[in-house]
Amino acid sequence: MKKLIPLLVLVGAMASYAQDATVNFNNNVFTPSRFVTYSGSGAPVTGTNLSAVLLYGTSAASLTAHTIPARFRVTTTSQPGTWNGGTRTLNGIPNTPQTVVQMQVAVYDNTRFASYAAALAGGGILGTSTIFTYTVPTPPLGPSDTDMANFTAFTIVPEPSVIGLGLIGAAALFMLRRRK
Amino acid sequence: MTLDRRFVILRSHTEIKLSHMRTKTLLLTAALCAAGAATSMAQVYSVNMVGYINQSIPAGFSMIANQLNNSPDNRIASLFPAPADQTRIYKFNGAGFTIAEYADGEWNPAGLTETLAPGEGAYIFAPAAFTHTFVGEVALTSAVNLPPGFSMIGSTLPQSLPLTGTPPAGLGYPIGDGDKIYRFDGVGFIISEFADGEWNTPIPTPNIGEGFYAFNNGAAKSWNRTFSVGP
Repeated sequence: MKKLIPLLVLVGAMASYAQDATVNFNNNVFTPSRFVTYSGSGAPVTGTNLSAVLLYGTSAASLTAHTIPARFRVTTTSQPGTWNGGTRTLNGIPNTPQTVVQMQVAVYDNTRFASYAAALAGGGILGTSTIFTYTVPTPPLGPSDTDMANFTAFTIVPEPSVIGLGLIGAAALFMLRRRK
Repeated sequence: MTLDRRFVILRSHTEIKLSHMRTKTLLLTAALCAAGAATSMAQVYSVNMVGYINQSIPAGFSMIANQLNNSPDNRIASLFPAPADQTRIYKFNGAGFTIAEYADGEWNPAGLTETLAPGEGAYIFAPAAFTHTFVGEVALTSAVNLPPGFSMIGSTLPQSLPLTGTPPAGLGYPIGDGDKIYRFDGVGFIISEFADGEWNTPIPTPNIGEGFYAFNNGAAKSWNRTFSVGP
């Protein structure tokens, strides 16, 4: 027991010093742009009802969803196709330079599902990016060093309500043409 | 008052004799003037310093520091109430950045409490070049913590002087062997290292309003400054 106490103190001290890595969870920092768009129309995604969530882990086979999703922007935004993100701490990933982390971004409707897990369980994932890597940068950090440099643009399927409205519109047009 | 058959000038009971009072008033005024003149001739010092800094911020990334205590506070949202859309501020937190973004008419994340107080440095991303005016009071006594490793800081005083000179000729930075200073030039870093008692470059001289990375090669220490106003 006497030997265990110093060991526990040491482990506790190490844990308190350990710092998790962070990433700039934003897709509005790239040139050229890497927007999220709707499949079919190609229109950039907007609307605060849509959330982007960061999935991450050391293995692509087992990614963990970050607990803080980011909403897409208002429909009048000057940055359509981007979400309103920010810094995300990668819990359990040490802030050791050159550590490679697997990442993916998923999108769901936050008015239909309270969380990513609920959306996943309910078949409400509207789209996901390809899995990409993020390398924990070496200090001193340049301003772009924590960006998701390997993130690539991806598409999501329009929501059922959007599809429904589209179908109604098409049907109305069809009816109008038939009357003429 | 007694009635008189003749026409007389009746004086009220509250009549005041002005002739004596005029003399007293004149004497008092003269005394006050003399006292005022004596006061204005003497040197009077303010106990604080307030002012403003017009800082040119280029398009793209640059590293800045706020060197005046803003009123009511030094929150980013108070310092930059309505910058250009897509303006971003990156504060180094030891592992990465805490990022604030101004988009669609508001700072994000919502309820942003992040500060840029004197002594703190940050990257700013400006979509277009602009001039920002920092307004506030100079911190006459200040301390900037320098933990081991990297921190992003700035001088608390708006002075462009050699970092390690003794005040008032320098900024009084507590340099140690193996310490480094990284100044961002918009593309990369200008690195200065202090080793074996000397700098390997000319002594870094940050500009007014410039932030920089400090690498502390030793134990935690503090960069303390005291600035006196008056004689």
